[in-house]
Amino acid sequence: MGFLSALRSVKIGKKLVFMNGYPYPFNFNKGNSFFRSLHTGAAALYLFSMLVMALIFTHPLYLLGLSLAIVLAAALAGGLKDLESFMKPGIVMVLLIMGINLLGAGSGETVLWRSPLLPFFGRAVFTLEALCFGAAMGIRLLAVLGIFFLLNVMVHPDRLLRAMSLSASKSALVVSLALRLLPGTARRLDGIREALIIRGVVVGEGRFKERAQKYMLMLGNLLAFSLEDSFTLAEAMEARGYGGYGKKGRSLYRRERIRPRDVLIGGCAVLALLLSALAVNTGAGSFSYYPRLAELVSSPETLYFFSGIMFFLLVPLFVGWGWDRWHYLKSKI
Amino acid sequence: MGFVYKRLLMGAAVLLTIFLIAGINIKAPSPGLILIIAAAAALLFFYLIYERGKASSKEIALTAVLAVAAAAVRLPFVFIPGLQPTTFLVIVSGRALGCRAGFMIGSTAALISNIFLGQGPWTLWQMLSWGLAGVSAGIIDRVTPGMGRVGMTLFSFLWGYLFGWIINLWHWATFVNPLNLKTLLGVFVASFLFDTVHALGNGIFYYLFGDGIYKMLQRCRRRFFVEVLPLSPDSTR
Repeated sequence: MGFLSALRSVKIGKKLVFMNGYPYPFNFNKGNSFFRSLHTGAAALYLFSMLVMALIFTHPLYLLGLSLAIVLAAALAGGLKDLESFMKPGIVMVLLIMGINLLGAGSGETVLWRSPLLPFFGRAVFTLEALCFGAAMGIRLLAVLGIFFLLNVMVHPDRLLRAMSLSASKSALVVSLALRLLPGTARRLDGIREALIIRGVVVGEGRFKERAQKYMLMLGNLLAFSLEDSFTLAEAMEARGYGGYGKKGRSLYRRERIRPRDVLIGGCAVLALLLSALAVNTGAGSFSYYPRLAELVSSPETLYFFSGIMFFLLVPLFVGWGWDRWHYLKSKI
Repeated sequence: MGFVYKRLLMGAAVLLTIFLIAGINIKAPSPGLILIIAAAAALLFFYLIYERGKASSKEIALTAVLAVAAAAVRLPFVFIPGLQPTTFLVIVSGRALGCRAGFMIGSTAALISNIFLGQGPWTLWQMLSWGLAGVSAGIIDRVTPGMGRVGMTLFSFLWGYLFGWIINLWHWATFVNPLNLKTLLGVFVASFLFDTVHALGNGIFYYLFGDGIYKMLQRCRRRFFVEVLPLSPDSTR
């Protein structure tokens, strides 16, 4: 996963849009507005139930169904292209997962290939079962990535922080302050670099040691400025009454309302989650890869549970699709 | 304040209950899910400690500013996979300001830098890993206050690997089967190059800049954290 996040960082590059004054890799202003109009808790519950499903199911049918729901949700939110670029580094990871599963699993019965003797690993046996398990885990990885992509496009960070501040005020304050300060800090970093260039210190040129020294000069200046800023910031907070709550504690203003659509989406998420738990615990949602691949649909219950879960996952998407087309529906939920 | 704890605990309880009811198959529990529960619980624990502590406006502002600096230094290096100066800055901050601030700086840096780079399954693990880097640096400073540059460089170097291993552990438990030493090594080998770049970067950054920044932060700490002493009867005369 470290490998994946490293690759992703490279992939993001400079493709950033500006949201509320700070750069953000995803555009909130396109696609269906239904998901963005949801209460943060309802959206989070829907995505959370999807995440749990992705982690508990090993059955390829359930994983594929979940992936379908994710792709449809991304298409509805107008982010199919963004989803594609978000997923690209994941493809490399999928291949890696398949490779590691192939290398480590000798318990399958359908042998595809036996390698020559390798140091430490001995004679690696590649089996069809391990290949299929690797592919299913690849789908799981892509599903998990897709769920986080949906989180990025469905819930604005500001709203997430606002929801967080209800219970964890100090932590949320630290994160909110940091979020607001980051664009200014990035600009200041640019300013320091330009000032250094004017004084003849070209950051990024010279041998490694010279570059490092110049970088340190820049970082030192940035830190010195930032630490001074923090002093001013603290005084500004105190001047605005931070910490002086009195006996009643701090007051809260809830801007978000729970609407019928939130109850609907939240309800569907909980029901889908419960059905998934039942499916896994009764064995209908489980799939045996070793020693031989089991039948894809071993019992009718597998299909019943699958249909139920898909129904509860797709209802929110259907409502979201209707949100833009039927004004009556929009006015009622 | 009781209100805050109640909410935090209720949130944690609801989260864990849903996870446990929905996710854990009694016959074959999902290791990936169990690890996520453990990581979320660890993060909640540290956040609870931060919420319970008497953080002044100065401490909050300083933590936020250092978290921004730690996140900002990550952004220019996104093009070199693995190289993350954030780790060394979190370690220096944790050493200079203590475990609580170190954790908060590390976890916040991960969270806000990922707002710009994209949140993913890695966010939780990065928050935990950088948070723990800050906490461990705070502990190191308490246990061995006079640890020299070489010792801290080695410590930062090791955190390059530890950071990768913590994240890899979830990856291994979630996507790989069977869970044995061979597959674990396979996962570690896959990210070895990136982890090594990270570790080397940490070591070099700390060796070159660590002590300078540490002194700067300590000075700032002395300036910010004022202890108000009660007046003695003699001084009022």
